[in-house]
Amino acid sequence: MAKAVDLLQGTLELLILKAISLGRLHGYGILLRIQAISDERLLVQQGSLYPALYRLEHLGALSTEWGESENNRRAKYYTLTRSGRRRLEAETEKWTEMSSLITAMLRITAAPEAAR
Amino acid sequence: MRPRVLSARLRTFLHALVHPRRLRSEIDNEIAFHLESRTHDLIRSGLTPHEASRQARIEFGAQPTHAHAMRQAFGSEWIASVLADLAYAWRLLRRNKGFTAITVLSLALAIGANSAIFSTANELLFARLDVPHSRQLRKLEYVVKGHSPIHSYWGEGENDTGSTGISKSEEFPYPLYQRLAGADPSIFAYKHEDNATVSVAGESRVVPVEMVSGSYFNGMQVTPVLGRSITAADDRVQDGGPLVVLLGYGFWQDHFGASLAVLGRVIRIDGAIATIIGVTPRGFTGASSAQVAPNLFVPLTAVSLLKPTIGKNHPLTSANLDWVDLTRRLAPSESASGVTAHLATVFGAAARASYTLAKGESIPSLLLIDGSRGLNTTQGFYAQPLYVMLALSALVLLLACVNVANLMLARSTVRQRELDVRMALGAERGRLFRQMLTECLLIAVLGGSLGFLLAFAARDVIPSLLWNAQEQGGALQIPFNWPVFAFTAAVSILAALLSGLAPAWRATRSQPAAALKQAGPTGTRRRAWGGKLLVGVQVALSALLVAGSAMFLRTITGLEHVAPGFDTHQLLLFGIDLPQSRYLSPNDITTHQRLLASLRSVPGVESATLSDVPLLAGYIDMSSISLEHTLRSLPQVAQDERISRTGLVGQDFLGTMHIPLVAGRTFNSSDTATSAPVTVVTQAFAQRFFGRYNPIGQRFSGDGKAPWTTIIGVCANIRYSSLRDAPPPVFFDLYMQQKSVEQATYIIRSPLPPATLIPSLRRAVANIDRNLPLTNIRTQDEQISELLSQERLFAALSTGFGLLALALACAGVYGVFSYAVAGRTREIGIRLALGAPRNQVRVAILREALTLSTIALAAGLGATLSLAKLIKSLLYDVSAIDPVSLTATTALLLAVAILAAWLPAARASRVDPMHALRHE
Repeated sequence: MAKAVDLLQGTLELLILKAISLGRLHGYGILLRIQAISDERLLVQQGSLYPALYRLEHLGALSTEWGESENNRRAKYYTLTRSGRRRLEAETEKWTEMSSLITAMLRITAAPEAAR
Repeated sequence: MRPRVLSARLRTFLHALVHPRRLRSEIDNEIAFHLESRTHDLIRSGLTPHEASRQARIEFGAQPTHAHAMRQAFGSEWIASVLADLAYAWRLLRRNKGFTAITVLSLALAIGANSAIFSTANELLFARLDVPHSRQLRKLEYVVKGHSPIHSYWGEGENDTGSTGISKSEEFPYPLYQRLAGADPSIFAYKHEDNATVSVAGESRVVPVEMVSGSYFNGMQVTPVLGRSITAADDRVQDGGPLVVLLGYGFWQDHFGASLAVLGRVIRIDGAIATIIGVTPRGFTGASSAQVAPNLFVPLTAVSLLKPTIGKNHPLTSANLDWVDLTRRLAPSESASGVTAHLATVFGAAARASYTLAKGESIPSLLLIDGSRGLNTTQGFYAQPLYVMLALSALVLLLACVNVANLMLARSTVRQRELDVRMALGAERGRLFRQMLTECLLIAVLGGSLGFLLAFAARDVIPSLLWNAQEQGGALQIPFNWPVFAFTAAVSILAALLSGLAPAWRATRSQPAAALKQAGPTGTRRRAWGGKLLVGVQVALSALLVAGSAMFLRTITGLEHVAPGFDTHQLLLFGIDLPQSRYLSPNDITTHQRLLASLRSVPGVESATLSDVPLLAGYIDMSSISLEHTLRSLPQVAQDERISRTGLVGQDFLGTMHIPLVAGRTFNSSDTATSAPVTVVTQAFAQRFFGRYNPIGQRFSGDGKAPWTTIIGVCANIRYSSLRDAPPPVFFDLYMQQKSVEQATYIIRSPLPPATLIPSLRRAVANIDRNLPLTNIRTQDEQISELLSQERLFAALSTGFGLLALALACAGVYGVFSYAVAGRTREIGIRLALGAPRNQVRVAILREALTLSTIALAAGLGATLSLAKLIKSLLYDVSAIDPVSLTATTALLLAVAILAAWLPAARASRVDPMHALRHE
């Protein structure tokens, strides 16, 4: 098993939105999906998942309903709203830009002309 | 902020706020589900159930902390930021006390005044009777083309033949009512009578009474709170049946202490014994009026005791006297046209059988009209004054809104830099917007609450200024009108919000970087334009209000300086009503004589007399005039001019009133009940009917029939019923030469103050009859000031509102030019540095202020001219384009504008060029 990675500050929301964008999920399901995608390498503090979910619901990014779980228990299911989808796109773009900038920065081996 | 997002926030927030327990259990359930699922998975991966459960909990972390964070995500954040906004807004408002005070006060005043005036108007113009389903009530009315075959009328309304040639009446002769009721028993009849003398336990007072038919309470769907109602069996008073009475709720409370033992007790009404059988519900005002409750309800046929004759007619038998009001309830299943058609047929047949038509007369036809407001006499009396007051207060509301808008605009400009900085530092636009919204709301709530207090305090003031309880037969109770208050408050608050939000919107849409870089007066420039527009509106509105108040002030001073033609000081008036049931003619005449003699003997009384019509009280008694000898040399008087005001007076009338005699003699002791009838006429009378011919010794008659009455003297002109009308022709007859004088106003001239005089007058009257109450005691001067109360109210209201408008306009002009000068400091500095004289700078600013005010003034005066036509009939001796008022308004407003612009102009001229240029 590869080494576990701590979650970067501020990325939990992005992960949640992405996980839900693939289909309706309950809280525990989101956790499982994040872990499955990351090959169990991302360490999500399980309890902190929920305040983030509630904040997203409050902001109108998620809609919720109570339903039957696969083991016939009542569970709260989360779905992405249109506003949530837009939020996911915006966050994704921001992330891609940021990560490509940082990657480029870290790849530099010699100082560019201008900065000399 | 998109609405969907806003609604999600609101929904989750409300969920947290309204169902905190449910949210808690939802959170617990969700966590429990998570732990359970995790435990389940861990067991499958090989842990023992106990270990799995423990492991799941450890992985989850501190449950209470997370649950708290979840709840917070829904609500607390929002509340916290709102509270922060409120605290911030409160600090800002407290820092700008002047701004806050002006804004809140003008809002409060507008809300308070509008609420009070709208409530009054609503009650007086539109109130419905407080009975179940009042909209089902239909009043019967008849209309006649040309003249009606029914010649006499007893009531408060007027049934003139208008210019349309159609006369109508809401009152009916009793025999016609009987025919109608025979065909349709659900019709009920009633008559409101203001003056009935009621004696309870030896104490007498005059109260309003409603005489009602046996079907009345059924038709009104009103059940007494105590005892029983009046039935058809009670309505046989004319045949000697016992007289029963229901007490009005207020009367029961005031005079019987709401005692349950009141049933079966006996009171006297106009001397007749009446047994109390019940008490009407609280708030029941009878069928005649929605404003004033009768104190007593008696059977309709009691009219045979209370008013056995009206003129020459007996109410219960005469087909020639309109007096009964008829109403019918229209059941939901009935069609109005069907009922009308049925009743019209019955009525037409009865009318054709009852009347032989003279020339110009025709058979009346029946209509059903709205009866839910009773006779609705108040509508006629108060419609115009109320509309004027509504217009005035609406102007004030408009003014307050403009004022708030202007202040908000000014503030948003001052704060433009603060907002720019905050936005540059990354503040969210919506957040700033919300914060300014909070400020507006705070101002609106403060203004609204103060306005509520004002409206509540003023709820009795406006009605009491308009309403004369003595004359109207009862105090006017205007309940505090919540819908009206809510409406005015909503309008003003909405205005405050809109005017506050427009600048807020603009402010938060600016480009912070560009704005900061400029750091110059761009904001001020833009604001100056909008600000000037608003100030212009303020000046125009105040011109309108000031010009209106000038006209009303000139009207009231004009009326107060009208010479009434007699000495109004040191005169005390009171009414005496001699009920026919106890004072059958000629008993009433001799009683008046004995009363006058008794009153004259009171120490301090110089003279005492009586008149059936009090002067300058709005009462009119008219008579047509036929001269015995129509000489050629006499002026030609058109048919409709052959009328004159008249009064039945005591012998010493001219002497008591100090009306000078011009020719002939006045009444003396040789004129008695049995001597030839004599009369004294005014100069206007002599002028109209005799021209230059000597009228003394001429004879004329009131109705073209004998007896002829001889003119013995001519007296100076007097104002009769109102101060507005020129002195009309009047003739005075002697009361003791009449058949009967039921009601009279006694006039006492005495230098004693009323408070000392009144008790001895009461004793003098009680010496003649212990059960005779003195009604409506007032001095003649009070009577006149009451006559002018409406004019005074308009003058006071419009002056108050005008002053307020001036103050606000002054503040507006000052504000807008202060900002203009502040924004142009640099430009002024350059001008001064280049050698412009300081005086020129000041003049430039003043000229700008004058230009603005002149344009606004022109607009305001234009509006005044077009609106003045509407109040023309309320003015006296002032034309709708009154040059004095308009000039005064112009001068006052220009003076105020210069005054308000003076300080900023002076500040501009004191600018230090070096400082101004370095200031950047």
